[in-house]
Amino acid sequence: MRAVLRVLAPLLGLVLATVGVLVVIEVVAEWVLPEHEGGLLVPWPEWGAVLAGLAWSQNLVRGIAIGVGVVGLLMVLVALTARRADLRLVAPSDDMTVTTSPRVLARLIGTRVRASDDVLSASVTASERRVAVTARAWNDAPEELRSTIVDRVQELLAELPLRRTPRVAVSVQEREGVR
Amino acid sequence: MTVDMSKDMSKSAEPPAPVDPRVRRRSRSAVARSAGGDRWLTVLIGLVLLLVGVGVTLLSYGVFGVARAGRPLLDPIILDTVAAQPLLWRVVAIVGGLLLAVFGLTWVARSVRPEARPDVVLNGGADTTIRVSSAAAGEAVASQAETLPGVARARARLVGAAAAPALRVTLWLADDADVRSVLARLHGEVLATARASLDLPSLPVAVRLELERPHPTPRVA
Amino acid sequence: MRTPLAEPAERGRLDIHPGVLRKIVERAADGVPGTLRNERSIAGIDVGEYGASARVTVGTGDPAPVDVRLELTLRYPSAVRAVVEAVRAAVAVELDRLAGHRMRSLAVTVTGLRGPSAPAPARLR
Repeated sequence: MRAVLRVLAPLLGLVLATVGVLVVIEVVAEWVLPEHEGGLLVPWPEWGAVLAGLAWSQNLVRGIAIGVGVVGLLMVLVALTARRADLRLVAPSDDMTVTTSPRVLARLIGTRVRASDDVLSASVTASERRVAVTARAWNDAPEELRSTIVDRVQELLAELPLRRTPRVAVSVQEREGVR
Repeated sequence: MTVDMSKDMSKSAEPPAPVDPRVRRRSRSAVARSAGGDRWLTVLIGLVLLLVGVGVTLLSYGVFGVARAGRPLLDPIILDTVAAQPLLWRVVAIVGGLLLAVFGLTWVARSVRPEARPDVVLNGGADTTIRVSSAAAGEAVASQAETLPGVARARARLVGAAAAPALRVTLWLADDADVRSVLARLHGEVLATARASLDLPSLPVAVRLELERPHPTPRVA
Repeated sequence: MRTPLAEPAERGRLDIHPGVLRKIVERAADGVPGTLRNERSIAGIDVGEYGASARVTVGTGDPAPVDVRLELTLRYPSAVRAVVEAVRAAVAVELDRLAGHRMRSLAVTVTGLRGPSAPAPARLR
């Protein structure tokens, strides 16, 4: 979303600037060159005629207005959701801010979980509040594998100076077949 | 003439001095390039479009009166008003257009400009100005950070205003790094050295932690 | 009838080329402990070293004051202000001693801070 915003914002600025420049040019042209028929760069008299012929209650106007409203809503949503999803860590000093990305936390957890011999594969999603681990184990894995994994993950989370300790949710699927 | 910094480091760690809330704020804003200006202006324009869209839709459906809904978009009343005082409206249009153009161009320039890399300006006394280039300061901090155990790679750059620079440090950690220890040593050794060397009592820092790509381990059964 | 000779102090003029002043300044700065030499390399091949690099502007007046701009590489960690102060003193002394010029202002840009972890340039003499 931030990438979208970074492209959208200057485009909007460019549109505004263009509109402003065109307005100035057309008004000055109309003033200074009264003999010139029609608009200089933009056919505004024709547009004016079209607008004069349309009524507010017509479907075309309704459709365009709804479209404009939707575009406006989308812009507001894009702008408000363009936030970095950073995990904040506790820093040794107040003049330091430490952040990392949820990806990094997920990788650390994944490495720790996969280090166990009983685990065949694991996929992790992590956020500031919640960590979800889906592990696949061999079908002769011990019953307590799930709680072992939970303990391992919580150990890892305790080692990191996270500001908020996320809740841990682990699910284990067994796989058929021989090791 | 080189001041031996290591002697100061081995002194017992004093309790951290209380930090000015402004410094804390500067360290938070050093994390990444601010999207604030872009964000709020986009919200503003989006709200304007939304209100216009909703307003026109309501008008169109006759919420403001059925008679109004029947009027043309370019109402003759408007044309009459403008024709009554052409000079006034021309001036209004020109001024409005200029303001819009200036605003739009300023916004584009601000938005597209790359993030500043301020140099550190030190007070050298009368007739002497000292400037430590942004690249030199950043490389010095990054080189020292790379010597810390657990840190595979480090990059540092100065951000913020020339009068109030801040550091943004990115550390690529090894898989087995002790994060708390790395951060403590970064603060106690690397940053303390930088502040002492550059004589900057307050240098807010934003640290970003990443993981170094692991070297693929050979899979031997 | 011989024209009387002028006073010895006013017989002739000594103009020192700014290039020479530049060398004096650079040599003085390089002599200060805490400043380092940089490697110069083209396409990865070492082609030599260089130390401080200076730009000197000579003002008007008699004796003409000199404005100096210096680019330095310093050892890191070191107290930058203290080293620059030493450089200032050394440069002022040398300019006065060798060229009779007074240094009016000094603008230093530290373009490198090299720590012990960075590889030092190989010194082949």
